[in-house]
Amino acid sequence: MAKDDAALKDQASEIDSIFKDGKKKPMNFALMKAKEGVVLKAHPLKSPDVMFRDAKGAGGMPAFSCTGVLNVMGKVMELSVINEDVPRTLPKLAKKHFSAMGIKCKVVIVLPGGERLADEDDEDGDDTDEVETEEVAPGIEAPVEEPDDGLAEALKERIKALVPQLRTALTDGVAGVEKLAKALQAASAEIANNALERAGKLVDAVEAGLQQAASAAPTVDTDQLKQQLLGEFNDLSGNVQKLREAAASQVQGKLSQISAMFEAEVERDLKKAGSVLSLMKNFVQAELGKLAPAAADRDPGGAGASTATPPPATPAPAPAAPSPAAPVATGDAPPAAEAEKSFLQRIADAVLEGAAKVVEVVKDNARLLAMAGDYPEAALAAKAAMDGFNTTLGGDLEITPEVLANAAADTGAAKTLVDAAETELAAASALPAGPAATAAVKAAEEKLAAAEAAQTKAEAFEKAAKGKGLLETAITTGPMSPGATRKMSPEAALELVKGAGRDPDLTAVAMEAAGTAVHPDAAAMSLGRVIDLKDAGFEANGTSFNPEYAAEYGASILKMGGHAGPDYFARMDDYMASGRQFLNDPTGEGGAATFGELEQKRSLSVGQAMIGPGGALALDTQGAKDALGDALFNPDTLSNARPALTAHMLETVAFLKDPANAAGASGILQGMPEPPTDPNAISLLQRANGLGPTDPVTKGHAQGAVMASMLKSLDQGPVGSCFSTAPTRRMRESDPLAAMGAYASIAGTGKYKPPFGPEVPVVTNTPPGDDPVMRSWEYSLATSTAQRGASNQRNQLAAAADGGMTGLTDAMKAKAMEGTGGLSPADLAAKQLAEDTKAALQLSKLKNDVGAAFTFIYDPMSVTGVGSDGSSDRGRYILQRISPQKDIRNQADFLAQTTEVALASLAIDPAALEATLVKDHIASPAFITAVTQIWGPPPKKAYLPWEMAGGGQTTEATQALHGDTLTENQMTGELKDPAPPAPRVPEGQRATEVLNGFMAGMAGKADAMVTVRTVGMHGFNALPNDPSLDTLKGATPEARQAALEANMLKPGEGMRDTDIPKEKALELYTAQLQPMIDDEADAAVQALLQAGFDANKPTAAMKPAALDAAIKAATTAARTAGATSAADTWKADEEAKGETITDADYQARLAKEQQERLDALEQEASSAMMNAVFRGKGAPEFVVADTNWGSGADHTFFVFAPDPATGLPALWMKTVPDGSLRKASRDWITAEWAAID
Amino acid sequence: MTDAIPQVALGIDEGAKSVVIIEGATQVSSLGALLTEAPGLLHPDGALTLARVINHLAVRNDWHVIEDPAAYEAGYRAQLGREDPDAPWQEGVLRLRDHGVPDFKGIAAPKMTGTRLTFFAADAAVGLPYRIEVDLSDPARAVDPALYRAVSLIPLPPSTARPPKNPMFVGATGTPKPLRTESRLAEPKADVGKN
Repeated sequence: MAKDDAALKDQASEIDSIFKDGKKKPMNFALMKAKEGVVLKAHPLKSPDVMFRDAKGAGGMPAFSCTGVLNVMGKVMELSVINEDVPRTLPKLAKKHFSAMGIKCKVVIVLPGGERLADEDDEDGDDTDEVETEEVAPGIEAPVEEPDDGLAEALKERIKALVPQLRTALTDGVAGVEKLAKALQAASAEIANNALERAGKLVDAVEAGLQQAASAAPTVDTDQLKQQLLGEFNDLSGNVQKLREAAASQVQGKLSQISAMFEAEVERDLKKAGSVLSLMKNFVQAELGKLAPAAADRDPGGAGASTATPPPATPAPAPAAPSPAAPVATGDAPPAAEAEKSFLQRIADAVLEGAAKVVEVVKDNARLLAMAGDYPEAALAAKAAMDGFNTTLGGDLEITPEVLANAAADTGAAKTLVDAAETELAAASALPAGPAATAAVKAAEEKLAAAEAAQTKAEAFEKAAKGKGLLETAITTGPMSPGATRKMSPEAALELVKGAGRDPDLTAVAMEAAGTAVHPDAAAMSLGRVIDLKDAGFEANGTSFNPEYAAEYGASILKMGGHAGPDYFARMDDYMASGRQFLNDPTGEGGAATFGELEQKRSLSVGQAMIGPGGALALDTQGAKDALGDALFNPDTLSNARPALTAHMLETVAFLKDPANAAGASGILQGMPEPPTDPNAISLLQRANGLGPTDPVTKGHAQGAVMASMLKSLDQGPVGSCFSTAPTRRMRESDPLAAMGAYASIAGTGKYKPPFGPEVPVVTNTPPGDDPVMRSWEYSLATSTAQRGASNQRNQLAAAADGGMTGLTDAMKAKAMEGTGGLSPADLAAKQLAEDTKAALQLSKLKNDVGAAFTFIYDPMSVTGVGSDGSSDRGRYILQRISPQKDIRNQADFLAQTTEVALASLAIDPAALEATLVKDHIASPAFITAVTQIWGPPPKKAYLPWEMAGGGQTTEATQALHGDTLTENQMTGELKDPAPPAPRVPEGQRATEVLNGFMAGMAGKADAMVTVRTVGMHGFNALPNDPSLDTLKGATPEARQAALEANMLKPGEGMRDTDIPKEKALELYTAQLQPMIDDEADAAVQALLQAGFDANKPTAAMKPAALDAAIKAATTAARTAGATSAADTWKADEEAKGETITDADYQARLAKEQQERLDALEQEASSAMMNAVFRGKGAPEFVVADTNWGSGADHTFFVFAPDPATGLPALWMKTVPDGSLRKASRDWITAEWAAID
Repeated sequence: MTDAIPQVALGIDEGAKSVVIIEGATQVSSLGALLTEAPGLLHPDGALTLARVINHLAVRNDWHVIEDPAAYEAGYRAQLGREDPDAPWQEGVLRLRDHGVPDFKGIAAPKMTGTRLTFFAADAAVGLPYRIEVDLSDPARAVDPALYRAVSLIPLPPSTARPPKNPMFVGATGTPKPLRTESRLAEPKADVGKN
């Protein structure tokens, strides 16, 4: 008896759970009459068929049963059933049974035709009023009827009206509705206590709360939802047809019933229709699984289709189930559908039951357990996938390179046998008809079947081996490992796990993208769809790619999309449906000799297509979509993938989609001259459009060229200028329409005027192949900048001349006043006035004449110093006498030329006696002091017009484009390294100073870009608001220091203290040293390197600094030999030139050579270690600036990140894609860092 | 005040402003004041003097008035001759060749037509020609630097040489792959095995 009680209690508990879960979500169910009452089984994911078996197993009678979808609303359990032949007593029986278990509810069965079988007529005498007066939630009841005045009655009416609304809100899971229910309960109590005012306020509050909840609830577009449901229903048609052809008649009958139910519900209740559709999917999936597995496997678009396509926005009862066809088990695995179902159920169960359940499922696998923290569903899926792989592999096979190689060889051999068998069959088929031919064909067919079976098995094995290896790497050291710093979404992780079973090769590409691409989720989320397309050969209109190319093409798409982002994949299906993937070279870029030429052709093909009638921008025409699609997806464009160009095109299109931007862009395009007449503009347009020098150009050519320039990123390529690239790139990124205006001016008028600089006729001498309009913008800005810069220099010289010449005219005036002592006071005063006036006019004229006599030219090759790396710092203004032309590079020349100019200005014969005064004055210390101290006496810097300070023209170019009031402000001063071998400031310390200076200098900047300089080296743009810097920001130095310690120094310590596994250390050690050994031409040095290599090989796990030290130790002798040889050569060369080289000179040179070699080695070692061990796996990266360097392929940024060897900050150059880091040489951090703002 | 064309000199006053010195005795700081003092400058023969004055007041020594077009052409062509025709554009190097050559026939000495003065000027940094047309009836507007409009040039053939490589550049380099020639398409399966 006790046993029966326990069983009863279990049953009650199960039904209670179903009742509660049914309130939260629809569930598939089976209800059967049983010996004692009924058996009810229900589950949100398991199919009704499974429930049917479970119910039967629990003692149910199949002859008295029904299956379908269960919903609980309030205290009503509604059972929408598949079959019409439902025993009509079942609701009553169920209610009685539930009641006996202490669960009071109403049971309604809804037949496929909509008829409702209820329990109203049961012996308990329940009636429909029960629903109206029932407890809608614990503690909520309609008010007890009591005699009261009118106000109480009114309140009761309002409460009565609110009850069903609250119940619906509770059923729908509306947030906060529980509080409203309690308030309503309190209102009833207040009425009972005759506290009507308080009751009224409570009812008011509940009404307001419900109204607010209703307005906050997302509105559902029913038409769209209906179409979506119908679309999903239609998507099932292929598999439904399969079932109709192959399944048992009973199954077919049930299928017809569900189908009819859906068709009925979709017209009246979309929520129910969603439930039925879900039921139908599960049913179809389950029944297909019972058919031959091979039949299901061959179906790429049905039950086996990926779930990576956008999930339906239906109120479907079950959580979106992972792809039922993710073949986690292949080959000899259990039937796919069964294995898959089990796998999905486990995921669903565990996720529904919470993290604890997930942990329980994967607790025996430490790696999965670690992974489950971030990716619970993916961890469960990975476990199921691993189980499936092991089944196929015949056990827990360790995946080594040998295993993979053997598997590939086996697959290849199996394919060879299939090919041979096909040849044999073809030969047999060609025999003359007759018994011999028939026998031969039969034998050949059997042979082919056997070979194909063997091939299938070999392929399955190889696929499982690859999948397992891929997953193990991903969860151990890859993007799903606990140490990975780049987190993807849980959904993306799940897609990757599913992909590993379906197509490990493509999944490997998506996995790589997840670890390194700009958009870690994008490729993963579209992986399933790309696999679907690949499996179908990217078929369109009856044409498809061969399997080998389809796989290659799919990989290219995934790689590109990982960088370009979700917008890329969003355009994929339309393009593939168009069939344009089979067009050859639609962009006309075939044959391009340089990437510049290729990018111009690609962007021009898109840009031209985006010009609509009347010259307005037209992005949504089919032509524009086709052209953009070709640039994004066509196999010929992907064969020369330009990820940065693709991303920039999509960003530009997104920008131009904004109506205001589109209007601005159209205005610019339409405002261009018709046709262009300026010869320079015509020349640029001919080249931009690939025309000949005599071909006419039209306004359309000009508009297309402007769009082509807009679609490309403005980069400083491997060649070119930095000082004009930085401000133009900044304008293109921060104010695209202003950049477009500049392009239009150049292409339309052949002239360009920067906002704060003079107009110039544009530069037409642009590099062959590059976009001529874009390059002309940079170069023309450089000319305007030079004009502006020279003007500034002349003004400065005029100010200096002012001081010097004032003294001269004063001296001349004094001379003129000599001997006037005998004059009367009046005459003396008159004389004085005359001389004063004369001197003032002379001075006025002198200052102008000096300014007019000289000019400044910028000499980019003029050496201004020697950089710490031994290279020269070049580029400065040179003072030049205009006529006769003479460069002035020393003080003597300056004084001599100034004397000539002054004498000419004063109209004094140089040979005359009075010229002596002028000459003497200009040669005097007073004149020199007046000229050189225009900024003040020492320690102020001296102004030496014959020796101008060095540096590029970044500041002037930035002023010309972004504002003439901008000034250059130092963030960190220059650090002069002592000559080697004197100790230098440690790199980590200096890099920290530079980073601190940068963060202080950029504090509070709102701009996306601020132009900065490493003075004497480079001009580029800081990114003060890059999201990566958020954790380093602080309002005070103390706050910034705390942020630095927490987010840079502490993770850096972790890196520094990391043990690099022996194998990895050896791999890095070899990768760095072996090429040095191989490339060394000097046999003796090569022997030294080899000996060092052998003596210092890593033999155990080691920390980064130890590996660094081992690499240095291995090369010490060879570096010393190389440095000595170089120093010897230098000494011999210098002495051959007649120079005397002392031993001190020689030692200094030797130390310099050694230091250079050591620096280069450290730079390489750090970079290799960072990329191979730490990048993406724990190393924080703080993006501080955009270098300008890039192309259609990639772009490079300045990044601060810890140096693995020291854990302290270092400056790196990060190239995206692929996200690799290269440590910046020391001169980048010893330079002065200044901002132009 | 004189109706004759006076001697003028150009100067810079104590406040660093451009001024004009009339007959070595009077200094004025605006075109209007100058024309009041010396209305004779409005005579067509005053075109050159006025061009110098306007240039001085508008842009001082950043542009030079082209007084002798033939000399300007000769100088321009001489400079072109000194420039390497095969040199690619180079940062910081100012070359006339990068911009082109004007139609010298269109460049003339300063000329006055009624109250309109037209003159050409070369910028001091490069030597590129600009055309300036002013209305002397509005002296304040006549010294606006915005009136300096670049003259259209005729381009010279661009260099076919690539600029020198930037040794600091970090990023991908290389040349495009030729288009694939072999077919990517799936072959229809041969219908074998049937007699």
